Amino acid sequence: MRSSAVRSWAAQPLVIKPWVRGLVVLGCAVMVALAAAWTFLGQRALDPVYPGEGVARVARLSDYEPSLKGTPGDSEVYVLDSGQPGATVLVVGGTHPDEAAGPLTAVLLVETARVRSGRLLVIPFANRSAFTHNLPMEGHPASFEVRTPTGPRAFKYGARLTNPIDQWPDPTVFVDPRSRQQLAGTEARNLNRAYPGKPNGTLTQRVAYSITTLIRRERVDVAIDLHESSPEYPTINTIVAHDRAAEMGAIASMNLQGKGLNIGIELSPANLRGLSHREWGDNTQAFAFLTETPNPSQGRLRGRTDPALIVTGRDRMYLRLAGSGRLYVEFTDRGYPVEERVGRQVEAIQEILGAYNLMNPGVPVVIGGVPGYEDLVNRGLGEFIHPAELRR
Amino acid sequence: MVKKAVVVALSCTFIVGVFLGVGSASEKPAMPALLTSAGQSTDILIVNVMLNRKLDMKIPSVALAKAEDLTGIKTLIVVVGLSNKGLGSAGLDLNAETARVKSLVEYAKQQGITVVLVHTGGAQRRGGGSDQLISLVAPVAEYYVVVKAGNADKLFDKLAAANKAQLVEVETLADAGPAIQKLFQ
Repeated sequence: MRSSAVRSWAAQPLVIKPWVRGLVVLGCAVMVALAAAWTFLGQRALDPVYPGEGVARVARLSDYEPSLKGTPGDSEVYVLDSGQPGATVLVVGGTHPDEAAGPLTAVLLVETARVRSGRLLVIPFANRSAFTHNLPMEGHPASFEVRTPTGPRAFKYGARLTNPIDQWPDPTVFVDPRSRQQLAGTEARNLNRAYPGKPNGTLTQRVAYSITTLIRRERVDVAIDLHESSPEYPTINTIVAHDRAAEMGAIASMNLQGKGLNIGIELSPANLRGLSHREWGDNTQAFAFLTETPNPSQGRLRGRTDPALIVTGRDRMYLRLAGSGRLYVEFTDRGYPVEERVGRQVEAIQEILGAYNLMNPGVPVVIGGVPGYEDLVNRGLGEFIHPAELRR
Repeated sequence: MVKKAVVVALSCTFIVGVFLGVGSASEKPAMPALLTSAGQSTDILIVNVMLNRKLDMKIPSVALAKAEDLTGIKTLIVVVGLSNKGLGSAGLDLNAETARVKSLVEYAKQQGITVVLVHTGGAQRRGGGSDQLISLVAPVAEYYVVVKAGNADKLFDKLAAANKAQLVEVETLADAGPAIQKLFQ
């Protein structure tokens, strides 16, 4: 009796009225959309930077190219002024936001540097739009954390190129407007192929133009663009110098190697256009440099990709490849932790400035307060940057 | 009689010694010298800075030196190490660079110019085209100054033994400049 009742109940079709069904589906869709929008919009907010005592004022790229005002291309320029005569240096991080040591080094400078003579200008997030998205198909995490005394401080892990939402569509072939050099269409969104830039061009070209204008207007003497590259890329652990800056770069490289830091020098290829080290050197008065440290998280041969890979630089696949002759850096189980990469960037900057001072003794630029390689490797980056804000 | 024999023996030893000396070791490096590259790597920039800015040796640097640049030169310092980028920037390929280096060092040899091979690029400037250029310069060089990291397989030891050259192996890049300077003293 009982089992036949259950059977008859089970046989009854569950009748839900169509409008109820529609409402449930709509509700689910709205929830998914809200969650996606929350994450999506969260990517647009830039990481906080806590200006140190050395920061005299904060300018913006739109001060140098007004069309950027209110756009995702506008970004902060931190001005650290000693008030003493001396040279002006520009340090640019975040040209490629997936090369984490660049923006981290720039943030470290803003939060710790004390300029003793001359001026230091720092742009931590040069391609701000590229920080607003990442490459999930590459397994790239949206952010990573640096341990600080008060807890983990999060940093965005962006993409190499300007967000397509801000600059779309890509051309089939990107033709450099001056040299007619042809590159893949996506390179139209690469800030480091857009120099010297165009005031009436795409968002990326206008960002590039604002930085070139800044270099000219602020009479920057030394300009350094901070980058990273994958272990299988030949331009790595190196300073790329414009022809005019070759001797300065050689002195810096020699002194870095004297400190036991294997950082070589490459000359900026004259026939590869649109790059910072080439176009800043050709189109402005600045001595132009680009630095590269090893970053396994952006390599093609990497294994598991997660926030830990960005921070520790330890990767099982690269370890297996060590000694195969396919990598351009030594790779051990120590990996390339972010402290080491930032330490190398800081030392490269200091040695470039040391070489500049040696060759231009009348107008030195001296930057103090910034931890060096040994300090960073031994104590960690989180000991020096502003600690994470405590959650209430 | 004994005195005469001693004098003759000493004279013979001196004469044989002088001839042996001429046959196996060339003159010490002397000024004026010229710095050049074999392979167009940026290693020449660093060696140039070390010798001229740091040690004030006043040695001109011509990365793409040709035979006519050797007029009046007594020592040719060749910084060996291949850079494809460097070759590209100079508008050369490996064949053209090999031909230039070959004719340069052969001319130097004909003119009795002392050749010093310098290798500072470590493992990155070994193998392939770099080794091809090393094998071109090594037989005509009397002195090799080599940073240890580039001699892990003892290639320069073997070449120095085969070519009766003097090998100076230094631990670090920073030691290379003083080692080259010492050759001139």
